[in-house]
Amino acid sequence: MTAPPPVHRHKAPRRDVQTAVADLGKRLGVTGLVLAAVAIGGVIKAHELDVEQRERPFIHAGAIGQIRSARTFDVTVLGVRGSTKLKAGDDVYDTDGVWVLVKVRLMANRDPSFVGYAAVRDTAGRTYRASRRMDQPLDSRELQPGLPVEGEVAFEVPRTAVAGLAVRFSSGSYDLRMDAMPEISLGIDRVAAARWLAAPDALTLADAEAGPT
Amino acid sequence: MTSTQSRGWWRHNRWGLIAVVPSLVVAIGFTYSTAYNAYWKHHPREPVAAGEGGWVSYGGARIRLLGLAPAYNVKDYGGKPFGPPGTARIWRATLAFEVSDKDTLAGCDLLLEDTDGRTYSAGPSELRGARVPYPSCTQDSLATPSPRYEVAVYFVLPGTAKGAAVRVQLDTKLPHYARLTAAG
Amino acid sequence: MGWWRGLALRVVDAPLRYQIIGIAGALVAASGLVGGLDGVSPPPKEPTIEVGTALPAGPWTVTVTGARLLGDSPPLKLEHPGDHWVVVLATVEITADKSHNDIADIIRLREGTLAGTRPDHIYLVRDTKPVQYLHPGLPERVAFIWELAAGATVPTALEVLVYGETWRIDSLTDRFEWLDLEPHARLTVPVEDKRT
Repeated sequence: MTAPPPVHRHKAPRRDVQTAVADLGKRLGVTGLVLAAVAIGGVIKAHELDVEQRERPFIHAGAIGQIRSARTFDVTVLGVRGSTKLKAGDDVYDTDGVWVLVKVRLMANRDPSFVGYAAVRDTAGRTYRASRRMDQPLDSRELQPGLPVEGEVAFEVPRTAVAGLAVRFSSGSYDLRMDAMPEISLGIDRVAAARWLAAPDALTLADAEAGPT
Repeated sequence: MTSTQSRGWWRHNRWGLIAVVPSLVVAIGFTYSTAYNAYWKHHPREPVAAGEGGWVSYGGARIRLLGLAPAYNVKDYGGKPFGPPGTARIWRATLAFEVSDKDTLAGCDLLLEDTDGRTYSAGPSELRGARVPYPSCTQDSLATPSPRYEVAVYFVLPGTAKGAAVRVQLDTKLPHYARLTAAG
Repeated sequence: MGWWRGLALRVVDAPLRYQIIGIAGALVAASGLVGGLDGVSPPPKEPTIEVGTALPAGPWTVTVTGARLLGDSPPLKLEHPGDHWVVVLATVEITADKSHNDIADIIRLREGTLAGTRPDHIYLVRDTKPVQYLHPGLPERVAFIWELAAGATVPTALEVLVYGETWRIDSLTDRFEWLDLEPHARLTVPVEDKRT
């Protein structure tokens, strides 16, 4: 049995070139992985939708005469008219803007349902909720499945906003996030808008009545 | 990793590991209760079906569906026949109640379920002008108070729909609702 | 109490960096208990404006135009006969991109028994009907109305605060919302006594 060689030096032995290269490679690899993770995170962050976009309503775009779903009920816009004076009940309501009356057919899908939100949206993206200056016949109307209801909804909008309006509906009143929302273009051009401004007579807001079954 | 090292790791991180359990309970429990309250608890999800003799025990009362059929003899307040819009049909449900207190079922909702599972409210706007009682689960206030009474409820369904069951629900008892089937 | 000793030893043995972070955290937490994290309320910063000045105040632009003292004035119904109506008149235009129904938040009185209280009524001057919504780009004359008890001092001028909001991200929902309802201006409005 031979004795182990005596220790002469306390310094670590010099690494050979192979180990040094392997070490460097390992470090570069880790650095590369970290950089890649940061870069991927950056790309995701840059392309991520913000809350407003992520939770936006599901818009079902359509035109007059087309049925569009608001999840708990369906909407068909039947027509639109306008004036600067509106008669509802016994009162006549004037405005510095224009009254836009949207005639709709509404029908619940599976369960009784109410219209929680009705608004018109102009080409600049501003939204005007249905007027509360008078009682609106469709506001408190409970819709039943398979039994269509027709009536008008009145909106008060600035004169410059009339052309290009679209109407939106939802079953929710305040929380409109991530819910189906019909957006129906009303097809109002500048000529029609100008005609409504010049119309002298008050329009009478149509009551809610049963539609054709 | 050797088994000694492994034991060391568990020991080293034991407080963190113990803390994971209550953290998970709080995190998942909170989300679950929010989801439960938002999507389940406040909606009629769990029907209570009839037991012996067609009686359903619900909200401290016993309820039985005595009859469910189209009603053709509804009148308006002038005594003339009242017709529903278009091809729609009026349906009439008769319910028997047994209650311990007259207000046991006050504020209930009454719905008619058709064979496709669609539901309709009692006394809808389509019956405006018809001489039908206001839909209620409580006894007519003019009648002699009794723990047993009957109530007639009216619905309007599309002409092609067929009534299958009457639902009685109390907001305070959701997600449970009484589901009373015809000819039970 | 072995675990306690173990914990103490680990804290003592921890690198200096962690010890400093720990101490700093404990100090912040402790100062929070005595209000160290609360903001310091600054002196009233809202400027004083004149009657008739249009004030952009977040979702709305408000022009206070006058104040009135009224007796019984249908369709308003006094809760106690003999009381008076105190009315602040203002033109309100929604400058936000959506209809607003928080119109009652806009005007408050600064002094007297009605200071800081919500108006009892808000009416559209145009048709003397209650206001629920005002819509973008449609300025309206609005009457903010309070019932003043019969025995209260009748003011000859009202100290009025005009409130506004800021469009910012709500830390709770991560969405942009109109928040931080606070006074954006104050003004003194002479009261026209129209009780006769």
